[in-house]
Amino acid sequence: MRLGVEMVAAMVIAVVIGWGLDKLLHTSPWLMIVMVPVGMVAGLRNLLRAAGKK
Amino acid sequence: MAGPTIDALGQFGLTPGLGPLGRALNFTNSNEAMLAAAGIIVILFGIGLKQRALVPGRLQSLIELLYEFVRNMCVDTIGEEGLRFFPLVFTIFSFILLGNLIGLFPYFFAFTSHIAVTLTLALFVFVFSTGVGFYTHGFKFLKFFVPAGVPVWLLPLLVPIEIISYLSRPVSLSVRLFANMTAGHVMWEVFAGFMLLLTASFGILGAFASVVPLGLNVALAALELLVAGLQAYVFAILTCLYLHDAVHMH
Repeated sequence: MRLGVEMVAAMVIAVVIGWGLDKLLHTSPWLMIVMVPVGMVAGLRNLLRAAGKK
Repeated sequence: MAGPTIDALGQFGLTPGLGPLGRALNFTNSNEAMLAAAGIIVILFGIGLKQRALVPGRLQSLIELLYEFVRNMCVDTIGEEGLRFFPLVFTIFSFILLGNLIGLFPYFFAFTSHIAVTLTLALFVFVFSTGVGFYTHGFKFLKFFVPAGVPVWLLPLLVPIEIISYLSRPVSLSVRLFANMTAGHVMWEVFAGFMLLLTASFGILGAFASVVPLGLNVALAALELLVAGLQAYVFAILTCLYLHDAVHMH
């Protein structure tokens, strides 16, 4: 539960940032697509950090 | 036949509290529960610490236990200078703990089961720890987003990842508490509704069979007690962890 949330949260934030930048710059949907892998990696980073600290 | 149905989410609805005055101020049952939690903390501590006995009584030793617990958590996680943040962590911990606990009682409202409440708490922690970081290190705090010992050509890739990882903290912090509390209460409601459904559809046989969901609910009550304490602990220790990152930058 704890670790799952960490991954999903990073994904959500990344996609929201991408979507917002798309709206601002009228580049829909490219930035959102670019942000998805970045969000996945950030989620994994969160996961590793959370698992390492415990 | 329109029998009883399971309304699992109706329990989280907000209703105006405190009569017409509350309706005018948008004062809801959630706010009532928050006031109750804060009031219980203040009254409990007021009574428990009035004696100041050298050999503490039951209430006083409970409070001293809580105090020592959070204090050790602060010192272990943040370090000696973590004691500066002890009042904040202790307030957050006791408020969430009491909120979770009084939410377990019938007719009380679990305000931590609303994402609006948990997100506000998490955003406060997030903004505060970021502020502490900038206050302690100035603009050098931005180095927090640059991992040490990485080739320069990887930085354009790694810095956004670190920033997203940092920004996702309030989301994971709030969703964790909210999801745990909501899931527990929904499960309770579903099992309780299941008892009514069994009795309505199978009569006396169903009434006997509904012992099973009742037993499950009793077991769940114990689990929920654990979750209430654990989630308050997790929220507090993650607050400490974020403050540690802000103070020490690694």
